[in-house]
Amino acid sequence: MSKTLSFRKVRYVPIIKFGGIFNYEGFMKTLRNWIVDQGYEFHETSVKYKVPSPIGSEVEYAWWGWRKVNSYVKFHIDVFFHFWDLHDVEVVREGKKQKLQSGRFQIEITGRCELDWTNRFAGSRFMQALADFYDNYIVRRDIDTIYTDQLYYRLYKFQKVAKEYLDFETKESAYQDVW
Amino acid sequence: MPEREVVVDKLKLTYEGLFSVRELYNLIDEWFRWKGYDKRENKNIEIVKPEGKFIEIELEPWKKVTDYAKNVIKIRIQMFDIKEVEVEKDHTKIKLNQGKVHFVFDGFLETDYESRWEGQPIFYFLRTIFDKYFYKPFT
Repeated sequence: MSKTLSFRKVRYVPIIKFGGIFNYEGFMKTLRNWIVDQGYEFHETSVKYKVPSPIGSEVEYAWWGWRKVNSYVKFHIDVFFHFWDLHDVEVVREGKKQKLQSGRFQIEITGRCELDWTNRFAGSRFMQALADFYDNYIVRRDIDTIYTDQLYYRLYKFQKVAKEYLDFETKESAYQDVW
Repeated sequence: MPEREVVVDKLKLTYEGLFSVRELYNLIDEWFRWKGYDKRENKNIEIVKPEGKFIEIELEPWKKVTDYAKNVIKIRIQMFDIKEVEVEKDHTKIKLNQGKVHFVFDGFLETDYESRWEGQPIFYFLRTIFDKYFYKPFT
């Protein structure tokens, strides 16, 4: 009998919305590199591109990154991008012509903490019940205070990378050194 | 679902003039950290417009009081027409922002945040009894 996957969903993390001129390619590259640099296996699970209207195109991306923390816990990061009215613009910055993009977008970041990813407790209903007991009573505090908390604040670090790239006024974080 | 008791209801504050968006945000963020609150930023919107930036932030930091109750503060900040200006202060030029900022503060006491008393109607009933009489000092 296969074991049902046990996930602790990290409380949803901020929705970032931005409207204005930005470097689309550089932005996506920076975020992708952060996920890879942090040791996550990166997957682009879906891309949607709608035929552009006169005001620009609509694009959606879904990213998924996962990383083994130890033999029991695995972190997953899910990022969903939705761009609207995306179109190229030419900007003169410091006397140089640059091709940038204008549009608006929304990013949703979610984290999941997968437990028993090696399926140690797979096999029978008894093992499943044992796994539930183990997760809910024996290691519950560790999962809440060490793993999900760590993932939670890492998602804020990811959010900070996005804010820094877009030069948000609120890009600083007092919680930067947490985890 | 956890029960939320409203402690502060839609307290409002509006300011128009010179200020630093970055410093204001840092001040709020640092204050919450210093007071032992966990960060929660529900929304962060920044839209660049010809008349200045529009910024909207919704913060909802929380702090566990016990295993049963936690404090939640909700702050909604909206900033309109935020422009960057250079100002001379004590013979030095500093960059500040000019615009309008509007705050809405809410304070809640959230009980049974782990939904332990939610399983059956009898638990819900017992929780209300406990909230009303046994945990009165908290609520």
